[in-house]
Amino acid sequence: MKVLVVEDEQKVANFLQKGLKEEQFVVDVAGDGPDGERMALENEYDLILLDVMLPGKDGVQVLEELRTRKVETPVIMLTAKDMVVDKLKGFEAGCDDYLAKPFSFEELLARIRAVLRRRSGTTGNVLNFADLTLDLISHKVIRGGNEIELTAKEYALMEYLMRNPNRVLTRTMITQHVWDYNFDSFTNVIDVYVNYLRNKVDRGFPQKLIHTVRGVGYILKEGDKK
Amino acid sequence: MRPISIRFKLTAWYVLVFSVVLACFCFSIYVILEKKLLDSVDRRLQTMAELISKTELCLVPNFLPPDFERRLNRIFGTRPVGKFVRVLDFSGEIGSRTDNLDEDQIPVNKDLVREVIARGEIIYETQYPLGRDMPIRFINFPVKSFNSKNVRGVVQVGTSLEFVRESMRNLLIVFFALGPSLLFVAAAVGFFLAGKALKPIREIARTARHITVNNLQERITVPVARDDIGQLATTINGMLDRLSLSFQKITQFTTDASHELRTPLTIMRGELEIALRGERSSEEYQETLGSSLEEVERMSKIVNDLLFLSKSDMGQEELHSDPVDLRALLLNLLPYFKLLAEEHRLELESSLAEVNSIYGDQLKLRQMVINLLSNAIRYTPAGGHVNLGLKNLDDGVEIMVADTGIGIPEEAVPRIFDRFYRADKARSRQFGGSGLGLSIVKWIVDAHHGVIKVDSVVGEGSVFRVFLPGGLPVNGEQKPFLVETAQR
Repeated sequence: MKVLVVEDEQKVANFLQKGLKEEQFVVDVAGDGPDGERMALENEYDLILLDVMLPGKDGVQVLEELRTRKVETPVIMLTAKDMVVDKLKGFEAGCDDYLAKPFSFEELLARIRAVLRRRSGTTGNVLNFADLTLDLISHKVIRGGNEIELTAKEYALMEYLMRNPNRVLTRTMITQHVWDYNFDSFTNVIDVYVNYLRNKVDRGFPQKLIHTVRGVGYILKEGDKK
Repeated sequence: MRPISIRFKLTAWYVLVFSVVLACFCFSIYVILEKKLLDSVDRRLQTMAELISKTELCLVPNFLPPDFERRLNRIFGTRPVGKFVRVLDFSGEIGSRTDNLDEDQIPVNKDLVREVIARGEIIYETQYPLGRDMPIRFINFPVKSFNSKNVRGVVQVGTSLEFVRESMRNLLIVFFALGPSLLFVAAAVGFFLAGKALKPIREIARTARHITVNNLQERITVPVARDDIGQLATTINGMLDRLSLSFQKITQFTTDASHELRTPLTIMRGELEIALRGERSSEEYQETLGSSLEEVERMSKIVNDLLFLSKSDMGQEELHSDPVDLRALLLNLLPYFKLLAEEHRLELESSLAEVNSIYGDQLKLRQMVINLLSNAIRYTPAGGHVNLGLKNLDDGVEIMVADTGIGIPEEAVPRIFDRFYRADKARSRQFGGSGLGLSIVKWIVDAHHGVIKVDSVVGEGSVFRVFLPGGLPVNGEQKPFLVETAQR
């Protein structure tokens, strides 16, 4: 999951980045309004954390601009203003949730999950695909009643795949959402990780779930039994 | 006690004044009318007496002509109803008389008759005949000879004053019947008029009652007429304008203060929470604790500055008034700031002239210089210059702090002394500071009856000049800061 943090207070941006990375998010940081807007327009994010009082261009303006430009990425606004009027302004501009500073990091995580869940149409903190289950909070992955041990990166990759089932995901998309890098030579790493994941998830099961789309990328689907 | 409404008071006054005027009016009417009626009675009596005195009735030597009444009838063409006439000789003895009254009922007042005869003048008298309660009005008319001035006798003509009495009584009845109804009508009209006059005031009161902190932008409708009420409405609206501005300032201040305090809290909470989420190395814990300490220091600075300003707002900040040697004060501070400037790779230069001592608070002035110099160093990029100057002016001294820093946008200059105002939010945050430094500087300058001026060009730098008047003891009383800014 790739998150853009738009926050001018350096230290706030730092701890958000650190905490979210530990939760297997890929985090980009923008330090002011115009930067944040440009990055949100240029890259595809799964979520944007947007501060309201930003230099250059305030959060509400940035959000309005993004929504006009048809960027429908979910947005959670973070702000020291917690007057009802300010909240309404945020929601009118099209934000998905609103969190007043100082906030609890756990609450922020819960809200991020809730917003992502709403967007992907799932309910609860569990993703299901075929006989595969992924718990977003405990990070447990279970297939056919057996828990599968995954490393942090493998988990992040699994989550990304399960959030976008039956959809071809290119290597570039995977790099951007799971890794924090953005260049082509990195695609080999993806192949390696997809293989790790296949070994753990698909090996021993007649029904293969992770499929290669030759020359494009990968897809999570219920394929033919081999 | 429930206050009596102005409307009732006005009505009561109106009725009181009206009844006094009405009473005076009625009394005058009564007195004048009675006098006029009596005058007219007297005139008719005189006419009759004069007429009688010129007839043969008075020529008869013994004043006893036969057929007195018949002759009278002839003179007047008809029998004079309600009049009685008698003719007296010069000794006061009754000669002829009409027989509608006898002598017992109206005895002759001999003294009066003698006086009439002696002076030859008309004298009126009013008598109450025996057995009758209606007074009778008399004229005593002297009868004179044709050829001499001698009074030969007196003609008395009398008439009952019943008509006058009746008229006056009727008038009184009219007064007593109409008076209360007039008063009632006056009260009603007064009540109505007072209500009409006070209606705009009630409107104003109604609107004013509804205005609270939450709808301070509401205004009283000013009546079209430019009268007292219009002025009152305009005055109240003006007051509301000022109040609303003050409230805006206070709200802005509260919002800003809470924002300034929330930021360090957010950082501490976030960093501590994340540090506690998993096992960390001791370096990481140290880093987190160090960062938290930084934030605690930032909050302490804000809280201390706020405390200072709120104390000075309430006039609790005590100001000493001692002779201060500003040059010594600045020289004392210089080494510390030289170090700070070096750390920021800046050049700190100073040109401090010998100046006269001024009266002031040493500690406060020191604080002022520290704030100005810290700002200059904070907002000047590496390689820049900061200048500290001190010189004598005609009537005081001038401290100058100039830098080659980022400068202040022109539109921001009037606001830089406002609490928590930051011309460039991003950069000032990055440089730290409580956002209250210049507010405190301004307060200290004002407390010393000084003037602070700012010249700034964006990208080139800023110059702060503080003028402090010499020889003027500092007055401890200060206007509350918030009110002062609200008026700006």
